[in-house]
Amino acid sequence: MKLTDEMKDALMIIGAGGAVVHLTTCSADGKPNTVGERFVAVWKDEYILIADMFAQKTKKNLMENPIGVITIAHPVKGRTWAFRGPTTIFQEGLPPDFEFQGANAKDVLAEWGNWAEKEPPSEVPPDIRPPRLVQRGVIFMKVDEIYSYKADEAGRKIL
Amino acid sequence: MKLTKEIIDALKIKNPDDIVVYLTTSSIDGKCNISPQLFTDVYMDEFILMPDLFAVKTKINFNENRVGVVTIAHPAERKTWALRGPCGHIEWGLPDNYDFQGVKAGDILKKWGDWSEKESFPSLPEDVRPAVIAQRGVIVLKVAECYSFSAEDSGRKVL
Amino acid sequence: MAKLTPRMKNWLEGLGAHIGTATKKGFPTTIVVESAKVEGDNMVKFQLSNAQVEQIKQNISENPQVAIGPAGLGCIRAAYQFKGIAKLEGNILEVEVREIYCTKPGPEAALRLDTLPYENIIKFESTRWRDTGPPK
Repeated sequence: MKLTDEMKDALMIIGAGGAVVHLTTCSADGKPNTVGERFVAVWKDEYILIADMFAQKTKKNLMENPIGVITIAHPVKGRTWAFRGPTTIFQEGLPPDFEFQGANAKDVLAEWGNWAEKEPPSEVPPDIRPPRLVQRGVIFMKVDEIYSYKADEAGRKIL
Repeated sequence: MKLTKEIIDALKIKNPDDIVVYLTTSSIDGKCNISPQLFTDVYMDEFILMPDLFAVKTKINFNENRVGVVTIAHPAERKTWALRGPCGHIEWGLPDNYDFQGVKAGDILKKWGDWSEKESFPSLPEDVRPAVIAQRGVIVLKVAECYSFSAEDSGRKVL
Repeated sequence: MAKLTPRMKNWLEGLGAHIGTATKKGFPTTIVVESAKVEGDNMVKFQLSNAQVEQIKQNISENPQVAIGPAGLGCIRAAYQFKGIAKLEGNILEVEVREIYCTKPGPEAALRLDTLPYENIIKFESTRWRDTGPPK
């Protein structure tokens, strides 16, 4: 599923502190985890990427239940979108031909494996900037569906 | 509790892969996690240090229950020690004066925050060597008790 | 339901395991057992000494959750963690394995294996490890 230009713009804000989203994952027996994420990008119009900097429960959940939901947290500006689809974490050291949902881990890591170099967080205020960027990989979602989270139409399919 | 010279010698940095230990932790409601650790060192004769390289559930457990057990896994001949005590992680970004069980984050991170400077990861066998080292911090266990895990006197107090 | 592979069985039976137990409030005690017997798809039985039984029987009675890591060289060569529910039958600790994880240092550390189709677990193993058990 291709994201619209408006969605890509909302997810991938260059400079100015970037976009903030929430990523919800879930254990295999149904315990959800929702966590704010700030290093977000779009890849090939249909995948959403987040830098794996500090994932703990997110990683545990994706290791046993590879699906997630990304909701726009800030700035919202009426863009009340929830993106859902198969989600994994690509990390260095995977076999070179490792694929997930039509994407090759090596290609993704070559482009986004060093986020700090590609998109330095210089615009992020010091009080919320991570003290030391130690990236372990890339959280990677293939968007399968998009629904609204706006209160009066929550769940309405957008794409 | 001060460790004996024999225990210290076994756990101190020598060569990578020369001794492997298991670190057992537990969630607050008693679900255990047992994770192999290829790198160990000893600080002030009573703290066991391990780099935080790939800890997932270990850290989730520390966030709610800071206690651990280190058991010698390989080679374990005549080293049947289980070392238990308060255990937590000191991550990059903590203030230098952050104190865990009498050690300061600044002191630990300055000396062990980049473990690869002290111990040569590339000399590990290829099939157990991490492809990329992304160290987030240092796991610290303050030894409060040491018991034997040999079958015939398992649980006997050693120290 | 978790199903152990022949390789997992061989390593556990060959070298035994470190077994993590805990009180129901999360205070851990680890014991080490030198051999095991795997029965059926997911039952692992350990013969304990009297000392080992004494050491963990209170934990198992109040909290039967245990975690198992293969002992000896298995800690690096058989990079698995098994989680399950244990009970003591005399000196035999019986563990019904319910979860299996990869613990190989690197990108697949913490990967849950038992939720994959069994044939995928076999494929996963065969592309990462050459042995089928500990050295003789």
